[in-house]
Amino acid sequence: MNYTVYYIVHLLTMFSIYAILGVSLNLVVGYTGLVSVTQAAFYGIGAYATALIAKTAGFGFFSSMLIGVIVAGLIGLLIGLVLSKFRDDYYVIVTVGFNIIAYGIFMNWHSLTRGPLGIVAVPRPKIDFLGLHLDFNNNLLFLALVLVFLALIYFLARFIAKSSFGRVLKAIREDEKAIQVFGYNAFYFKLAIFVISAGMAAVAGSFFASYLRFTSPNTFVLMESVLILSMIILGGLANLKGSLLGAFILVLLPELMRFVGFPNEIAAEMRQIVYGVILVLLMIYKPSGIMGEYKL
Amino acid sequence: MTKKIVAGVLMLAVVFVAGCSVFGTSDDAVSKPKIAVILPFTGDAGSYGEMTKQGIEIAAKEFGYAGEVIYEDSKCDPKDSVNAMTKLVSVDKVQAVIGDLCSSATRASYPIAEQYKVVLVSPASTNPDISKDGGYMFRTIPSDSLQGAFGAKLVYDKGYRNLAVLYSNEDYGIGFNTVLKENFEKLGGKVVASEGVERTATDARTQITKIKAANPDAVYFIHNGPSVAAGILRQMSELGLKAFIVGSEGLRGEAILKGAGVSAEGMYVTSVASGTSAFLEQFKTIYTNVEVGPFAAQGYDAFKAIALTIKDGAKTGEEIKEALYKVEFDGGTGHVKFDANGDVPGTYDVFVVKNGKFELVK
Amino acid sequence: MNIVPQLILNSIIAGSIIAFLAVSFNLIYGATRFFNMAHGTIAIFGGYIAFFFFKTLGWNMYLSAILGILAAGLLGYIFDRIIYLPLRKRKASGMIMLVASIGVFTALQSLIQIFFTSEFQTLSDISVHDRLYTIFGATITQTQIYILIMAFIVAICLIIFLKYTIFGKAVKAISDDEEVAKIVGINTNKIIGLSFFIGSGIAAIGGIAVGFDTGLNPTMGMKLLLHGISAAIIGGVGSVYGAFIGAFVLTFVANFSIFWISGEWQEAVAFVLLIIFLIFRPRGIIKR
Repeated sequence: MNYTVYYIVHLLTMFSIYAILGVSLNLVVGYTGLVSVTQAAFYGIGAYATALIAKTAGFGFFSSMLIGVIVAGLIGLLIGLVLSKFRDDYYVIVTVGFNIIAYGIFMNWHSLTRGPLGIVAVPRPKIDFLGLHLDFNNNLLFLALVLVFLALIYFLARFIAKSSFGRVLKAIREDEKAIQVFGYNAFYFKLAIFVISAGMAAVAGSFFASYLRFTSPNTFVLMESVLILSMIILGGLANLKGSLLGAFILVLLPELMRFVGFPNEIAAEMRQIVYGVILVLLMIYKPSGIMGEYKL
Repeated sequence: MTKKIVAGVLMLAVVFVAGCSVFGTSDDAVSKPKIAVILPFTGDAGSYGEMTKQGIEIAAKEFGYAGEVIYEDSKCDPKDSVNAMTKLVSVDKVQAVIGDLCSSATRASYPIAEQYKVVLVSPASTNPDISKDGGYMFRTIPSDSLQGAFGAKLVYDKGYRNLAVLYSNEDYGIGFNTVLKENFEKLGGKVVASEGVERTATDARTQITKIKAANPDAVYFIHNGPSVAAGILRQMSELGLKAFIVGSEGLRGEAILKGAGVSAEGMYVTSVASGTSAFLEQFKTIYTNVEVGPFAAQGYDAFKAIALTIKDGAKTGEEIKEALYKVEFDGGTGHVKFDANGDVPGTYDVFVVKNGKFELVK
Repeated sequence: MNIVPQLILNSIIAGSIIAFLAVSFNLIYGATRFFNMAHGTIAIFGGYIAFFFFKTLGWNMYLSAILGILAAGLLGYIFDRIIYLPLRKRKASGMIMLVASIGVFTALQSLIQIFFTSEFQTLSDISVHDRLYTIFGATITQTQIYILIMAFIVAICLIIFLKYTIFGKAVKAISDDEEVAKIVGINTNKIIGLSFFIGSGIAAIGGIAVGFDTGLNPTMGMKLLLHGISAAIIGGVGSVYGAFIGAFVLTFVANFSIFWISGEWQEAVAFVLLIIFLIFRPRGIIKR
């Protein structure tokens, strides 16, 4: 594999992982109007589930992903229950709190997560099925697999958004009291979408750990949640294509900046500065993002 | 809708086809084995990376590799180290890698090296468990199972019997702490407290308070992030901890002197030997104004070991590995010969901070 | 040896630093009703400006500290003029303001990283030992005593200032109802701008205190702010006393939790405490 191919494949894989995260978060923030900054926690749960189970218990990658989704869903249920008591600013700050608590657990529950050492040698998936032998140690095959899952999650999210369930979510976002009058219990709808979103984020986590063959708490910090949030705001809230666009721009942007010739030592910082400025400008001039159908 | 699905499927198909075509291409015949280096060049341990690189460069020039070594920055972060290793094995297709500095980063990237049959030689990672990591893992720095014994004996010989340990909570600190405790108790001393602190956490007051309450007469401080460690040394003196303080080799850095000032005065530091007098002479002729750093000689030896096997005809990672177990030479740190675990025996120096400088204790 | 006295002292010192953040966050929140996520990084910015004048240029320590406070105040004011004021004019929701401030936080933090590197920098004079005082077997340094005194002075000044000056009354009027405040003739934008200046300046005292206490790092701003917000919420948003009480409750719980669980969990403990408070006593200890 020459460097250009390797590099493009790498970028596309990272794009797909972020796109899954973006689509999942958009269901909560864009469609339901709940500004959650804790997506990295569920991302991390997925990553650790795969790292721990696929490695130690000898389970296959896909069953480890399923377990990750279930665990993230259950924890999402608990967090969602607590969050149901809050709105607006307080909602944001409680989600921030959960992200920090999750990070604390990844970092300090040494007997499970090995703390800051992270978990090494996470296996890549393997398929031996009906005479089909696919070894995803090959990055191209791995990318194909992530793309398949991105497509699945994208269409699932689209289905949810277009269903009557999705319409109730939008109604909750616009006027929660009014929808209650019609006999819908907003509480259950908000909880359900939060759990679904958590499960989807865990899928992205499974892929991330397996792609890198390594996972450590440093990936699942608060800033990562902020990044995912900026991504979907940039692309556009309540528009799933917008989330894909947002992920595409934010993954490509640093590479473009490298291309334009920013010095390497400050590349990471310059990228953050550009993110920050974009976020501020968007809020002032186009708070609905590029293709958004809803503004905060 | 249907169109989009068709487009999606097409895209996947293209990717698959491209994938298969890549499978088909065979590797180019290896003309000259490639050597790469993964070290932190930025971040808290960045200065150690630069100092190690100086040693590597000397050897690279000697063996005609000047300008051909590929350098990657890991920031001592396992994630970045893994990323660098993945790139090196799949794009550059190197046969041998020197690195990483921090034990946690070395251990994270090693499985990839082994999978691709690439030799990994660390010039600075001292965690005892690295010995068990696998056949492709070598190092030119002795394991902390030796420094732990050396440090324990140093404290014991000074007449101290109640030792407390403050260690950074990662592979390096945890490994060192375990060995130190074992050896000190074997000698007949007592470890009265042992507290971990996150590698990047600046406030260690709670841990120091607990240590102080245990009334130790000596404290071993194990850390490899010098600017953070400097702050913690200050807190030790601010909280009135009056004990004999010994630091691990991660504390032998300029940042300690600059950041801790008087609070570092009188601290002892155990460290691997800086190198033979021949190496120090050679170093001075090339880097006239630079003090030799803690891992420069080890970096030199790591490169020399690999280069010698290549000179003897080893081409693939596997051949280099086999040859490394047999190679024997006089290097920067003394006589180098790897044992069955890929480890070397070691000698240590003791330094003391006096008037804002590290002074060698004879 | 009993470690309780030392833990109490450690909590008080950490608490008084958090208090600067909590009380200044409260002031800005009172006037603008949005969570300013860049506030902690502005505090750190003040610390770094003081560091630049004091350590890099070698100016007088007190002068450098004052310059740091003024610079942070000015920066807060400028952000209000060029970002938050236009947003208010567009009738942006609190969420939009919050996301914009996350943008400010991200950019400012990275800017500090470029100029001052990510390594820890200390403001204290390392060439001499700080004077140590012992109380009941616990030690405290002279610098830490100064921090405590400063916290006390700021608290008193702020209480008097908010209670007896026109500014204080105007802030209160705005936080009760901005529209009504406008109608009765208060220049709300001017008052909000001023509260940004004062609030950011007070936060910078906290940032400078951190610089003397444990050392500065560009990324610690968010952590400081989150502790500040937690303290403000625990104590009761909008109250000066509450901010101080909240700050001490937070640090005492975090410090004393080491009796049950090890020290690394302090951070998580602080947020569990916050969430418990939010569930059972959402308006804080001192209700307004």
